Amino acid sequence: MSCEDVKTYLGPCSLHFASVKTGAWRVVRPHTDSSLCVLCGICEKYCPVDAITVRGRKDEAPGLSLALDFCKGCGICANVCPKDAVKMISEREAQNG
Amino acid sequence: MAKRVMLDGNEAASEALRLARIKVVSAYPVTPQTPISEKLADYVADGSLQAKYIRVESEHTAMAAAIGAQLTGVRAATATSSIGLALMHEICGAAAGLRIPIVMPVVNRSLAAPWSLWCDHQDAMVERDQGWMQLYAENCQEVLDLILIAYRTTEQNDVLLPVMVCLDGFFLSHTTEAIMLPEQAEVDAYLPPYINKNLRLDPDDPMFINALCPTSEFSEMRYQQQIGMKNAMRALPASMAEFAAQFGRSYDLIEAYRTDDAEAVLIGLGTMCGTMKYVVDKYRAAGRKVGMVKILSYRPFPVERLCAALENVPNIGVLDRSAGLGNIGGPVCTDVRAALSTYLPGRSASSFLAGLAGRDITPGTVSRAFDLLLAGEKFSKTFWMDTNTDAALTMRTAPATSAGQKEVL
Repeated sequence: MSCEDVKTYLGPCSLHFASVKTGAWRVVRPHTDSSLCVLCGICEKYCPVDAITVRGRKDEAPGLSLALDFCKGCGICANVCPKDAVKMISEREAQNG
Repeated sequence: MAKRVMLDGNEAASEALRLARIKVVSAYPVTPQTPISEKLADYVADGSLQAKYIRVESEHTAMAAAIGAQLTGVRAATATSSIGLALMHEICGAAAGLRIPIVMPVVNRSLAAPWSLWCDHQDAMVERDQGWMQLYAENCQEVLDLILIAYRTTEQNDVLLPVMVCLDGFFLSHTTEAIMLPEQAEVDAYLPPYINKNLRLDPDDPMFINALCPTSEFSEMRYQQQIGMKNAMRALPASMAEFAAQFGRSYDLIEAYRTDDAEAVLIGLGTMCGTMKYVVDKYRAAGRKVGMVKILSYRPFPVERLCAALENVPNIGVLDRSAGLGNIGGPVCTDVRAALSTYLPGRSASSFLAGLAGRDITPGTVSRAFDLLLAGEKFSKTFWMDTNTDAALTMRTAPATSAGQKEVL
């Protein structure tokens, strides 16, 4: 924060962002079946922490990329996917294999 | 030059918000506030108000959107009434706790049930302890003036409290009066552009606002708000004095009317005060020493000023326009009693109740209260004026049942 004109703030606010990486909360994560995914981008729009980016719209290889530092594993992406291409898998399973 | 124009209370409120150069409106219509929502929409549509109008789906969102907008550094406005204010309740607490100096006209209307569209003060009384300042207007001129005074007061960095400017539904909101409408340049001279130096939303300089607050800090945050109220008690008269210098109309936290040698004084809020003054003048002309005190600022509550005005008055009554159910006095009376017992030990006030759901507080109502006070009657428990208490418990008689029985509810 760089607000030299004010020394103290009134009311509840936080200026140090030590624990904003909400990925630490996750117990399940989305797994995408690329044979079903049509890159419609609905999951990207609904993701509450903006953790999903749809690739392949320009010159990139198509697919979804997931910001694992922030994905909380809430499952909204799996719920809104019109093609049932997103499944939630356990974090332990994902990390082990 | 200011112009003399005919405006009702809702139009006066809308004009005041426009003159304050609000940049965002998020309002939801509710009787009798609806003309404010409509008027502000007209101003935005015809370009006379440079603002974004957000058509929200409820009062809950109206306040939430106003808070978000104001955090970006602009004046954001909304207005509401009755059940709308009740739906806004949760977010009203957020506005206060986040120290956002929103000024909101509240068009007073009773709360359901029973369902009613008409004036009493229960909607605002429910919000009394939320950390908002509450100012009550007696006439349409005061609606306009108090809104400007409210901005000037609360935008000071040691105040920062949201303000309700309360106007009696229909009695003010829909009643046209001749009022002085100041020019934009005069208002600009009184009300500088809003600069937010407290909590703010700025993507380039992020701040996390309203996270869970630990027990170890919550009391301190509340204490900050109480200090804000204390500072408002000093800042409000100063803003009123500056207003008088700029516009020539004087206000104070309370208005003590012919109280100096009074044997009986009635205390009230809002439009009833005009009726009280009328009755006081009639009684004075007949040689009967009565007076009245109008409370302009109900929060912060000007305890010391009030007690100074009442010091030599033997008979004090408070006329509440909301019931204060389950206690021995209405909310204003209870506050006055607390002030009296603290600053003038041994003194108390009689509790009168009248004017619920638009029932007129007539000169007759006020006269009866004065007569009782002058006769030395004390009402430690609320006296329900103009209320048919005998019939109240048998108003709805159930029809005969098939067994031929008649039940009385």
